[in-house]
Amino acid sequence: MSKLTRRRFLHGAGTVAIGLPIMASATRFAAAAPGVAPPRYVSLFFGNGMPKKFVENGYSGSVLAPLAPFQSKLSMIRGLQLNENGGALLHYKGTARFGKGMHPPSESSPGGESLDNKAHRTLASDSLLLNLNMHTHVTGGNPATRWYHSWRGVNQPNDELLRPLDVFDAIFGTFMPPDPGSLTDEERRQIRYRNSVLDSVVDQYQELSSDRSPYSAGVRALISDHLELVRSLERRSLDMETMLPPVSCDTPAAPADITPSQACTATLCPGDDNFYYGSGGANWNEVWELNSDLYAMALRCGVTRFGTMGCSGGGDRYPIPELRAQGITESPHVLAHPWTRANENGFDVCVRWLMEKVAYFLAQLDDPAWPDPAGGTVLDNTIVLIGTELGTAADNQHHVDYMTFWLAGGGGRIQSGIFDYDGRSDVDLYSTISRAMDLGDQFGDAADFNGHFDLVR
Amino acid sequence: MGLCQSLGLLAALSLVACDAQISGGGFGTPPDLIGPEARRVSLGHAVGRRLTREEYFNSLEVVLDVDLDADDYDLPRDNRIPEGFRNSAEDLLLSPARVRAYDAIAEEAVAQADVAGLVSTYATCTEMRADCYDGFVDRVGLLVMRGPVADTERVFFSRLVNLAQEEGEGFQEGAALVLRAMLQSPYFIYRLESQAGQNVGEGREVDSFELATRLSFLVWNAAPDQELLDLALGGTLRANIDAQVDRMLDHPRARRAFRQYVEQWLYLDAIPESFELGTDMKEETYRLLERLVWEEDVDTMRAFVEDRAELSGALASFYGLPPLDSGFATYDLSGVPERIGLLTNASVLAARTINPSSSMIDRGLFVLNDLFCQSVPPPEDPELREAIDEIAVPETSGLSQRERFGIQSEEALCRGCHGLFDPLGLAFEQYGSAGQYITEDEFGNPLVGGGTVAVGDVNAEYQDVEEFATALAASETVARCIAEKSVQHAYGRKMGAKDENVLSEVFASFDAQGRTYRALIRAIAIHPEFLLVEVAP
Repeated sequence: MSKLTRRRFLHGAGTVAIGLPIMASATRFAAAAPGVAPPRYVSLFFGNGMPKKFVENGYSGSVLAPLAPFQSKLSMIRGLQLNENGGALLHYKGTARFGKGMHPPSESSPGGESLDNKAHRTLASDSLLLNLNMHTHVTGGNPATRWYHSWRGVNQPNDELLRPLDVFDAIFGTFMPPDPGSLTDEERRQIRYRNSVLDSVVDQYQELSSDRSPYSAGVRALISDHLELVRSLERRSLDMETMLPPVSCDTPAAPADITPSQACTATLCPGDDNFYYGSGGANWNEVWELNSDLYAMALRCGVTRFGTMGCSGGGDRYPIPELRAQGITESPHVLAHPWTRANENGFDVCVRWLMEKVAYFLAQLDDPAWPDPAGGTVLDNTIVLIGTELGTAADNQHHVDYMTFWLAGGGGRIQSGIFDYDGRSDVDLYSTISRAMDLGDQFGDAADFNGHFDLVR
Repeated sequence: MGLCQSLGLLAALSLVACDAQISGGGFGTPPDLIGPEARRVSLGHAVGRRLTREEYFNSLEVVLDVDLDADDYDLPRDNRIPEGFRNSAEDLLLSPARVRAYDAIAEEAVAQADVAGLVSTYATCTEMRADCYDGFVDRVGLLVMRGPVADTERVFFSRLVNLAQEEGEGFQEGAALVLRAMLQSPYFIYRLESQAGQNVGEGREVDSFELATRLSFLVWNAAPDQELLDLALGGTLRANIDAQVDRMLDHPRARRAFRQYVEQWLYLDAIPESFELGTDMKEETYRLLERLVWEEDVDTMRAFVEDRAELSGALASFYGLPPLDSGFATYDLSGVPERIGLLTNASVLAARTINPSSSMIDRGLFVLNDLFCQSVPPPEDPELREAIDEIAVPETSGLSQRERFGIQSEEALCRGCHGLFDPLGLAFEQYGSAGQYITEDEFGNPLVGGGTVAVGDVNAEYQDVEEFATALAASETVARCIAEKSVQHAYGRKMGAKDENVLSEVFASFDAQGRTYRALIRAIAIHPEFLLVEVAP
């Protein structure tokens, strides 16, 4: 997709006057009372680490410069450690822990539920709110821990979207029912059939997950999870049938169907299973910006409040095309290995580029043209967790001894500033967020919990 | 650039640990494990396993006689675990997208199915009466849900028939709705085995329907057909396991399952459609193994030294042979030593070239892991990792891979592990990343292809890939690994120390019966462990 096309899409969205605030959607999406910001939480992951050198001088260094305009709304939390070993294995372990704080049992799955999912099921379980997860780094789903960031539990990922059109469809296709008058009798009957089939399916799974089930607790849990997914599907299908009024965000024109581009590797090409889209895609930046626009729109419209984003993946092997002109022809991952404090090799430029992507997303949420019903911008009323899977105080980047995270926005409750918590765990951070969102005092592996950070007002 | 090998490879495989101890596969010295504890192996957690993508589409074909192209639907692929295969029960994920896909595919599959024919076969009457549609539900449910339909479930399905009636439709429309619901049933999507009355860790023998299901997924990678279920219903399946396994092996579904197995065992699914000649390359490998297994029914170890191949004209040209035909034709390769057997198939070489600059290691690890069933655990110590990084010889050094990794392997830190798999990769030095035969690398270094192999029962020097392949073909360790991989796939989980017994016994039977694929499948099917249900926690 060309830049022109993206602009055209955004222009189209603007001309149909996407509604603000989204009061009409309140009942449908179980929103908070008018004037009160509903809880929102989004995690944003970028791959291949953030060494101490890049953060030790706050936002004055070149790497973090893109985030400097937002520093009054950012908490920078430095010096954390992950309770993991493993060299290159830390790519998946650190990624699997991000937003979960649990040791992963394998490359296939994190150790448990992600914070966004807990927020979603706790604070919006009966609504049609979308748990929205998008990524611009594809591994073909394998290993799953590097691709999925939102998980219901072990082996239970939530959907992760890549293509902007899929993100658009998730937001405006699923949540914007067609005009009731546009359906034929046959279409109405087919919807009714589908709902009845799903109803029957729900009954079957409910029966097998009940106390009457002849299966073990583990198997019943498996069936029970499937049951919840079918129920969710059924709820959305019923919504189609009952034709609830659309939310007040009018549907903008769909973006063009663009797929992140990428050159073939030795054996794989775009679209192939196990192919990595990464920072090397020629339109990678454009995909990120378009998906960021869509994600921000979903938050503004009240279609989603909890979810995840990823703007690159740990361990990927693709150079950033925009940086080739600066002589950086290796991927951030490859550069991270030999990187030292004394000898910058371009890794710093790569990380700065990634911070520009983070800043772009924050800017969309912080756009004053879209005031939040509770006052301020959407960013002001949203907790955005930003982080990566690696961080070191020393040279080689493949360590987890000095991790840096950010909390943007903070939902009005988390202080901005720079905070050093050397040696403390990621679980302490996630528990702090969890408590701030009234999701419980602790989140993550209990063994790694040492107490909350003094960040919450 | 880091590591004792390339970074990209390590990141992708996470397999190298230069100070690690090698760990063997399930086979080895026959264990003294005969007894109740040893028998408590079974399929493990497989009592609640979801069907894999392949199993799901194969099963649709069995129960509805529809042939849907999996690539046309958004059913996610399953994870491949580091130990191989995409059917590890403990690693099967369930996402919302998958559940949506089940809904959409069920609708499409029923739309494509001959519902009238199914009604004709499974309904004894077609009036809109309870006895008629209950009879249909019971009979077709036995097939789709792989066992008798419970009273409670029959009520769920009956409501759908009533709905069709309310809409003014007839029996067939109601039957179509019932089928859509059954195809999303937990009894179709999952392989469930009852644990009523059992305690965790206790074993019991499978019942007749569970047996039918296990056998069909073993041989066909698919749900059981009516004949198996009829035998289960009549209580005579257990006495006819051999005959049924032979019947299933003779069915084209067994070939489909075999291709799916080979694709995963040899990582052929890493070769995409877009890869030049990729389809032809894979077809060569499938045809080679299918000929040995189905047409000739010979020792599977012959695959390593087979000197006859079916090649497309384009692939023959790629191999430097004058094409006999534009399509596939049989080629005598006895005078082409660089194309001897399975391991010199371009598909196998390309699939295991993750990083061209370290293909020697990629391929060496493949031989170690997937042909000898031995592995090196990944490094856990960050300090070790950092030390390893210091030793690496850059890819741009101008040295051949043999020279680069030879320098690194001189380091004690690296030798422990690289000494195991580097020599195995040297056999493929003369093959480029796409499997093309080369005699010098991009730096102009001559490539020779000889080395030593000292793994398992093989301890030999080899001058070229032909001698290497011959050594593997004669190896009992490799033959045991061939059996172990099939057991692992059949059980749908990683093999461990507790599986030594079943692996040894299956191999003994496989070995005694000429090491044919048929013998291997039979040995797995009749082994007591395969017929045991263990309660999952």
